[in-house]
Amino acid sequence: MYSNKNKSIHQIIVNMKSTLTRSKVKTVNQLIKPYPGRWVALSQDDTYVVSVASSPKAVLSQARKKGETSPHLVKSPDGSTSAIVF
Amino acid sequence: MSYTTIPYQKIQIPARGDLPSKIVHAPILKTALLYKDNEPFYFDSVVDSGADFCVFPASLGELAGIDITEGRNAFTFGVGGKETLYFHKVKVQVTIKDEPWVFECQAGFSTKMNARGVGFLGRDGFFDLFQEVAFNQKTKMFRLKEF
Repeated sequence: MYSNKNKSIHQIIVNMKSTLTRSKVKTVNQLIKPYPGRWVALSQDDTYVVSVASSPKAVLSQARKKGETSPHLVKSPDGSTSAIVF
Repeated sequence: MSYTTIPYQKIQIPARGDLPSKIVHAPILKTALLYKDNEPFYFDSVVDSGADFCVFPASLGELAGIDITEGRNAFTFGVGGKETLYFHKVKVQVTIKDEPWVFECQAGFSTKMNARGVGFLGRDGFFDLFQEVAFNQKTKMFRLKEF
């Protein structure tokens, strides 16, 4: 018999595991933060940085040389072009 | 009737001028320009109900293989002031909940947007895909209602 108490303990453990797993995965913000003002090529699943360069052309070229044919290109914000719109 | 609800993306804005560092939220979708048989790459675009049409950085259009200055040009007035946009009929792919959605539109390409590296998904083309596009600033989500 699986009691309600056991169920809730089980759920707590599942939630803790899930939280620990999530915390290991860096967000896009965290990945690009060390490179203000630079172009960053991320893997297609946004889990790691493939290349960093000063132009989109250079960063794409470097990423493709490393085998990532369709990377996600992100311009890391800096003090001059910090926001997307304003 | 099918709805898709998508959370806004968090963007870390470093301090600039007198403004402190902060986090903003924006409705953003991963986008690719599909041109000829060129291998696509992805970049971010803001879903923008105020944009008449889709606009992308000229540098990313060139990178996709488009000869930007060969397009029809038009003066526009936007947030960044007056500028000349070059228009091309392009195939755009946006990723919604891991699913690719493709549409064709006359998109503008802007050299002023090169510095920011993000596009705008405007009403002509992107919004035409849906019956309704709704933004919820309180929950920081936007909702797409399919036809």
